[in-house]
Amino acid sequence: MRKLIALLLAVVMVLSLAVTCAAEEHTSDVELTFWAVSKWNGIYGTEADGQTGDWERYMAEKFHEMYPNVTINVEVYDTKNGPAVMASAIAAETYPDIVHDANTRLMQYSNNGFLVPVTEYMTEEETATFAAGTFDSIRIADGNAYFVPYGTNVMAIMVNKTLFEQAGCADLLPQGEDRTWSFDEYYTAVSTACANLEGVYAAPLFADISSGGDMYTWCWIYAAGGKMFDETTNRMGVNCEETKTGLAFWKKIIDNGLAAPGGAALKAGDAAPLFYQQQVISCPCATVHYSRLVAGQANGTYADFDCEVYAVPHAEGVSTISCADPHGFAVWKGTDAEKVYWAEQFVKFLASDENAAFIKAAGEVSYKICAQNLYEGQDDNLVYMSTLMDKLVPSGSSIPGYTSCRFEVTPYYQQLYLGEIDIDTFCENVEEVCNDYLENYEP
Amino acid sequence: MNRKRLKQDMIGIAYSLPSLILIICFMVIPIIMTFDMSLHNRTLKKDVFIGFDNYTRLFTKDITYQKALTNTFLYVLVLVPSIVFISMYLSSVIVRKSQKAGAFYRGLFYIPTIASGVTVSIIWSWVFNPVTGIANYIISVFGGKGLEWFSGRSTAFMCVCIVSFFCSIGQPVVLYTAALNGIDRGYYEAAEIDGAGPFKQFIHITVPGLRPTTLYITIITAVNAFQIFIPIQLLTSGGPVNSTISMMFMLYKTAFTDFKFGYAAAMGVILLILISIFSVVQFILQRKE
Amino acid sequence: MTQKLHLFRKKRSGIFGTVILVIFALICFFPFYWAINSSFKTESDMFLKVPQWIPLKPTLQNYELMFNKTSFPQWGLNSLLVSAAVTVFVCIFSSLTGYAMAKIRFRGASILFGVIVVTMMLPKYSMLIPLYTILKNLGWFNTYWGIAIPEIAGQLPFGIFLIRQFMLSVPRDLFEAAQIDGAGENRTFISVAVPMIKPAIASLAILTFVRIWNDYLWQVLVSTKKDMMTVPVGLATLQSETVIMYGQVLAGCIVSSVPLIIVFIVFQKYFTKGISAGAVKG
Repeated sequence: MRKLIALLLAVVMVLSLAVTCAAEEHTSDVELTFWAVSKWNGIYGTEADGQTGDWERYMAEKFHEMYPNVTINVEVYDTKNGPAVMASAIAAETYPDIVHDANTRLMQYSNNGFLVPVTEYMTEEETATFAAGTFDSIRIADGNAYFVPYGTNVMAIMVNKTLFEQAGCADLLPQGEDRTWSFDEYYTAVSTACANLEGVYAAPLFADISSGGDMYTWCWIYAAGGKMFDETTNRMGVNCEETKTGLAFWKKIIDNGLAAPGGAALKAGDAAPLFYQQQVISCPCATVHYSRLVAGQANGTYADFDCEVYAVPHAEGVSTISCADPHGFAVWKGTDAEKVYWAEQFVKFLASDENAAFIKAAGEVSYKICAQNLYEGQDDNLVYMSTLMDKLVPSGSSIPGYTSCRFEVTPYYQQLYLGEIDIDTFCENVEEVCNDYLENYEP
Repeated sequence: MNRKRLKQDMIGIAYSLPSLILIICFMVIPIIMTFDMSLHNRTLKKDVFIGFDNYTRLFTKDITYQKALTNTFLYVLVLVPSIVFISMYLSSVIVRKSQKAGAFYRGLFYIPTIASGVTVSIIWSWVFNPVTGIANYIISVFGGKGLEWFSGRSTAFMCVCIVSFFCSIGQPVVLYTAALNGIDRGYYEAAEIDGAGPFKQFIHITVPGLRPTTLYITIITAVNAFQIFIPIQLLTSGGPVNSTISMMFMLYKTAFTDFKFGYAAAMGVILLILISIFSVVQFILQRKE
Repeated sequence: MTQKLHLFRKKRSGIFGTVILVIFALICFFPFYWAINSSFKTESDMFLKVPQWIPLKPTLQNYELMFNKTSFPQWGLNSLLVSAAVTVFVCIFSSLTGYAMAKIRFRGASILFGVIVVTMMLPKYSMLIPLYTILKNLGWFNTYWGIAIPEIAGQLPFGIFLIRQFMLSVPRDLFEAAQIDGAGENRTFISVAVPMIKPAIASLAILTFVRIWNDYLWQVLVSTKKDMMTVPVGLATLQSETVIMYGQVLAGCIVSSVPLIIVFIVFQKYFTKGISAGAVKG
């Protein structure tokens, strides 16, 4: 009898141990750090008291409700000095577990080997929920993609239709459904309009790309079929005929007085406001510039003029292009397997179908197939911009050293703008200096 | 006798101890760590000892840095004398005013320091905006053509100096007005009787009387000028074509955009040495009194 | 005749001087005036070709947006706590050390003083990473300690320099008299030294308070959590890479300046009196 009881007890003990072991898998308490460089204020972007980081905190809470053992601490960084703080942290070997950031920094982290490759936590099925080519566009030299793109701006050009109508040449704007125009068509349109209007310029061309916004200076190069950085060779692709064609057109606008004055020192962040203030009638822009305009017109910050979005003008014989600057989520490599596991789950949660529509708060375009028609019936400019996702050209962000090298071009752009050097010299100098930089770059 | 000395020493150390502990922990140790970092090639992932390579590279191969060096010296040469002399003159005018007027003027000059460099720089960037700026508007009212301001190579440097000047003039003015009140009226009266005009009085009474203050202000102004950064970061980003770049600006960019921490640390150490040399020279000049 | 010429000369140089003074003072004040002016306009009115010297359609929109969209009250509280705490400690420690350096003849005083002054000369940006590492090892991120204590250390050299200069100008006799009466160092310090340098301490208080309130760099490193942010850090979040919301930024800066202006006006008389003595006799 006693032996039977002992046996029974032993069996019960073993069974309960087995059960607890099985249940204990991934149930221990974990605390994760989430570095968020927020792209929009508030959870939905529309709250009057929305602040940066609200959405990330909301997501962290929801995840915590689903998995109470996981606590996620959100640290919000602004784009101004956030990079300095994050760099200092990494230098002091303080690493996060999850990151939500722009592709420039995520690419740097990828090239430095800090991140977990996407294929390690996402199945083929899961990656298939993203638009075709999404992960291909962010692969680095070793063939892996290291972050999950969530949303992006696409590049286009905003036009002040009201002013064009005032000038009586609204018919010079693209009439077709594809909203495309060539260099010559664009030039005719803006020069005629400016001639009929007083004190207004064609575009806020700027040369100070030291704080970003280089895409909107390079768009003329890309639209002519040229390139700045060449992702196939990991070096510069600037010294070619197509680039020079694009630059020549850029210079044409400047030399004929159609560009807003002071462009040599103008920064990207100050260019779009000139359009909002109706000092210029067109402006190369990102989706977010357009969204900000709409929001500003709604609350009376900006005057209520009619704004239409077209594709960036292209050179003859070159098809329309656009450019993207994706941002997304990444999992940081770590030694604690539990933490990495939960970080992966959280990233998948953030990038899941049910959470895809939040990108609307940023006024951007989503990479997920299920969220391709976010703006259907609400804003045809944004619907149009979504269609530009098929026309993206690579910017070179996967090249090691790209992030700091792209700023090295600034003085040369300024010299070109001021007319101190000509286009051929520009191409040669930039190619030489930047190739040198890229060759000697060590992550 | 020795015991008293020892007691003095101990009390002196005791009084200084809290400050010393804090300064050693949070100033001296970081400085040593910075120096150590400057001897390494330290980036996000690497940390390799390379001796003085960073320093040699700065002085021989880095053309941008050498430009930053000369620019910084230019900033110091332009800003320090102008701030010192002009604030001295302005203060001498202020003290002749009534108490209330004097306080009012002092407040006006000190406002940029209170409002913080960031706001003030933003406003100045608007003032000098070629399209919508007030500077060009005023010029156009008088029939002239607007200038390039920040977008011109030569004008950009001048603009940064102007902005920095008006941001820094507050404290020296306040110091000088106070110091001037400390000079004995009797000297002036005696000079009047002797027939010396206001200019002569200024040169022979005011300036010497202000010597100690002048040296104090010279050092502080020079330290700030050597470290000039915020107007450049907000207004010109070192441009156009690196014409307004300064050593601090390069340091920030090297450390936090390029992530070359060791290289940037070397820049910091050089800056420390340069400012220290300048200050030592000033102190020696003071000793000569 | 000579008297009349003198008066005439004096008056002429008086007018000339006043004109120059007014011009410079106005230029100094102009950015602040323009900031106030613009903060009451909508952004479309801020950049008109013909500037509006006074807002023609004034609006409180920027201030409303700023207060609603941000945790300004929380930032203000954090800034106030940190600035006040740092100021108090800097004044206390500087007075003690300044007195020791100036009046207590102890060996090694000059060397210590030299070291302290040199620490003023390394730019803070250079020390960011080492400071970060130290802070990480202490675990002080997002705490009031983490913001305040390094700031105290950073302001101490300046404070010690100032108090020492001022102490040197206080006549030795006063201290000797006290000591003859049998007072120890502590007594001497509290009842003789401190009252004599009250103006200097007050001046140091204002300078430190203003400097800490506006110090962005260190605070952004330490306070990453929403609740721990201070005013300059918080205001910086209103500027993004793509668009700067000028109206709110300016409104924030104006509101941020108000406490400092009040502090300055209240302590003004001590401020000038204090700095003067230290600098003149130094």
